[in-house]
Amino acid sequence: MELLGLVILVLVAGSMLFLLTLVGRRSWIAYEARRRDAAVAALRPAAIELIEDVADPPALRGVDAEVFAELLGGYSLVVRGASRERIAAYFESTGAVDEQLALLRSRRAWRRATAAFTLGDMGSPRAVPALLGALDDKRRAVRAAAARSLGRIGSDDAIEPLITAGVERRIPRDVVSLALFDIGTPAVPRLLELTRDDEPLVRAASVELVGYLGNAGDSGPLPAMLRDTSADVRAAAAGSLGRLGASTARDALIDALDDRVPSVRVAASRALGQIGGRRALDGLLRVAQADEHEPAAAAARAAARIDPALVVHAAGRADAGPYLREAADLVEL
Amino acid sequence: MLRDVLFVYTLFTFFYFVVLNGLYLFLTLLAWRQMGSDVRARGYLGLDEVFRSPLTPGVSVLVPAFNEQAVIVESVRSLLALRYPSHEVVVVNDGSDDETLSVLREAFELAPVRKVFRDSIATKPVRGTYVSRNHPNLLVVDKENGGRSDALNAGVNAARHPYVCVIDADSLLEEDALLKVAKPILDDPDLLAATGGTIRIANGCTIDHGRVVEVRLPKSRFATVQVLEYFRAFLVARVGWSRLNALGIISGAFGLFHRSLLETVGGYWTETVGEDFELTLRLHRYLRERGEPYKIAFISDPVCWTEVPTEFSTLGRQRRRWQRGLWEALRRHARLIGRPRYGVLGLVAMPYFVLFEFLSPMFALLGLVVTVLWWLVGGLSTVYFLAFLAVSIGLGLLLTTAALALEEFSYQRYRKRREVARLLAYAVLENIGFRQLHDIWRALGYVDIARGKREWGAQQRRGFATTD
Repeated sequence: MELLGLVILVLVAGSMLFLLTLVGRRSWIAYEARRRDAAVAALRPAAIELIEDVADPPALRGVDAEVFAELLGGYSLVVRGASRERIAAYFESTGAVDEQLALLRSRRAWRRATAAFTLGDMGSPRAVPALLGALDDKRRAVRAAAARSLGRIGSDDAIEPLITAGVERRIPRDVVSLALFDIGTPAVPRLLELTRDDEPLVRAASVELVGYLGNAGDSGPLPAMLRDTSADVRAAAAGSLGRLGASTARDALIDALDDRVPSVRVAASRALGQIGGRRALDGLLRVAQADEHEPAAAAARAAARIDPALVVHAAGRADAGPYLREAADLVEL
Repeated sequence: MLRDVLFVYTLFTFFYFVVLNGLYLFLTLLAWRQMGSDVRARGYLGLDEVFRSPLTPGVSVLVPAFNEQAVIVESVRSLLALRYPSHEVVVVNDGSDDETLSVLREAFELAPVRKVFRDSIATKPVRGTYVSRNHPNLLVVDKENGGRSDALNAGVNAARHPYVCVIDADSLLEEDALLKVAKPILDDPDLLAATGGTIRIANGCTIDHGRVVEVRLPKSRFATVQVLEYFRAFLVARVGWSRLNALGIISGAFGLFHRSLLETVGGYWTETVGEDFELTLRLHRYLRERGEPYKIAFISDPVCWTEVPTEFSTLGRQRRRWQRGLWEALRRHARLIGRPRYGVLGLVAMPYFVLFEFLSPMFALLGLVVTVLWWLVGGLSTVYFLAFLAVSIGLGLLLTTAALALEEFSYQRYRKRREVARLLAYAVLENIGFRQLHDIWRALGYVDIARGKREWGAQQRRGFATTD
C-alpha cells in the first residue's frame, strides 16, 4: 500500500513539475517575445543606416546587441559589395567574429555548427582559414555549415577543398554546389581545370557547375566531354551545354541522342530544346517516337520548344506515338 | 478458484501496463533528447539556401482524392503555394462520385492532355489527365476507383520529379513544410530512404486561402482529445522510434519518398486499409535485406494540418479501420517480429506493435472488467482499487503533460494560455471515458477482422472552416 501511495505521489509530483514548467516557460516566452519585438522595432532603422553608411552603429549590450546582430545577419543574406563589407566590419569591430571563431572550437557539435553558420552571415574574410579547417570537422552538420559559410563569404581559396569534400561525400553534394554557386564566376576557371580530373564524380560535378556559373565562352571543353567514359559526366556535360546555350555543340548533342544510356539521351534532348535550331528536329522526333519513356518525353517536349507548330502537325499523324501527342496537347494549352 | 484466476489476471495486467508505460517513458526521454537537438539545429538548418538553389531536386506532391469536393480546391491552393524551388502537384481523382473533378476543372481551368505515364506500378485504368492553364505545375489524373493505395500508385507513375511527397486531400501543408521534410533527404540522399512530418489538427484553426493563419483548439471535445493523442503519437512516439531507427510508420497524410524506391518495392499495397504502415514496414524489410545502411526518419518540425472526425460514429469507424490496418500490415510482415536481422525494428518495435498496439484493447478492457469484478467479489479492497485507478490516471497524466511540455519547449503552436490550460484539463478528463471508448472501438476492429471486412467505409468531409 505504501508503495502504491509512493507511486501515486511520484506521478502527481511529476505531472505538477511539468505543469509548473509549462506555466513558467509560457510566461518567459511571452516576456522575451515582447522584449525582442520592441528591440527589433527600435533597432531596425539603425541597422539600415549602418548598411547604407549613413551613421555609425549604436553602442549596444545584452539583448539589444543580440537583436542588432540578428538584424544585420538577416540583411547580409540580401546585400552585396560595400554594404556587406560594412556588416563584416561591424562584427569584426564588436568582437563578434572572434567570439564565433572561439565557439568553432567548442566541444559541443551544435555550438560549432551554429558558429560556422553564423560566421557566414557575418561575412568576415577573417573567418576563412578556420572555416576551411571546419570542412574536416568530425560532424557532418559542422562541415555543411562551414561549406555554406565559405560560399557566403565568397572565398576563392575554398573552391578546391569544397569540390574535394563533396566528391568524398564528407559534405552533401547539394551544399557544396550551392556554396560554389555563391562564390560565382570566380570559381569557373578552377572548375574548368577540374573537368579534366581523373575521378569521374569530380568531372561530373565540375562540368555541371560550369553550366550554372559560366557563359557560352566557357563551353569550349564541354562538347568533348559528351564522349567521356562516364555516363554521369556525359549527362552533366549535355545539361551544361544546354544551360550555356552553346549552339556550337549542337551536332555533338545530336550525336548524343544515340547514347546507350537513357539519362544522357534525356539531357541531350533537353539541351537541344534549350539551344534551339531546326537541325535537331529530325533526331528529336525520332527519339520521341521510338525511345523509352524518359528520353521520348524529353525529346518530344524539346521538339515542341523548337517548333511547336511542327509538333502539333506531327502529332496528327497515325504513327506519331503518345509522346508527340502529349507534347502537342501541352503546346495547345 | 475464481479468486485465484482474477488475482493472476490482475497481476498480469498490472505488469503489462508497467512495461507499456515504462516503454512510453523511455520514448518520452528519447523524444526530449531529440527535440533538444532539433531545436538547436534550427540555428544552422539553411532552409533559405535549399530554397534558392537551382540544384535542389524537384518533388511531386501526390494527393489522392475520393469524394473530396468540400476540401480539394483549398487543399490544392495551399500545395501550389508551397515554398519549394521546384514542385508539381498531382491530384489523383479516384473515381469520385461527387463533384471533385468538376470543382477542380473550374477552379484551376483544367484542360485535357494525353499524358503518358510510366507503367512501373499496375493500377486501375486512367480515364483522363488534365493540366491547369494557369498553374502549369498542377496535373490532375482521373481514374477508375481503386482505393487510396491504387490512386497513390497512379500518382507515382505520373510523377515527373525524383521525390514524391504523399499527402491527404483534407490536409494543408505549412508553407515551409515541404522544404523541411525534404532537407534531411537532400542532405544525405544515399542514407535517408524516406521522411515523415508531424500531423496537427486543423479543426478550430482559422484558415485563409489554404493556409492556417491562426492556431486554435477545436471546439469539439472529441477533436480536442485528439490534439493530445496526436501530440503523444507524433512528438513523443515517432520522434522516439525514429531516434532508434525503428520508425514503424510514416503517416499517409505526410511522407516523402524516393520515387525510384517506391517503384522498386512495387508501390502501395492495395489490399489493405493500413497502407502507410504496411509500406513503411516493407521499406524497412527491403532495405534491411539489401544490407546497406539506411534511415527512415521522422522530422517533427514540418507540419501538415488535417481535419479530424468530430462525430462519434465517424471517429469510431476511423479507429476500427486503423485497428484493421494494423492487423493487415502485421500479418503481412510477421517474419520481422523478433528477428535480430531487422535490428531494433524486429526486436523491439514489432513486438511492441503486436503486444501494446494490436492487443492493447483486449488487455485494457479485460483488465478493467476483471479488476472491477475482483473488487466486487471482495478480493480487492476499495482503497487498493482506487489506488490502482489513481496510478493508471497518474501515469496517463504524466505522459500527456510530458508531451505537452515537449510541444511548449519546441514549437509553441498554441499561443493562448487558456488553450494550454484547456489541454491540461483534457489530459485528465480523457482518462475517464474516452480511453475506454477508444479501446472499445479498437476491440470492435477485431470483429471487422474476423468478418473479413475489406472496404474503407464512408468518410465525411465538411470543408476547412474558421471554426468547427
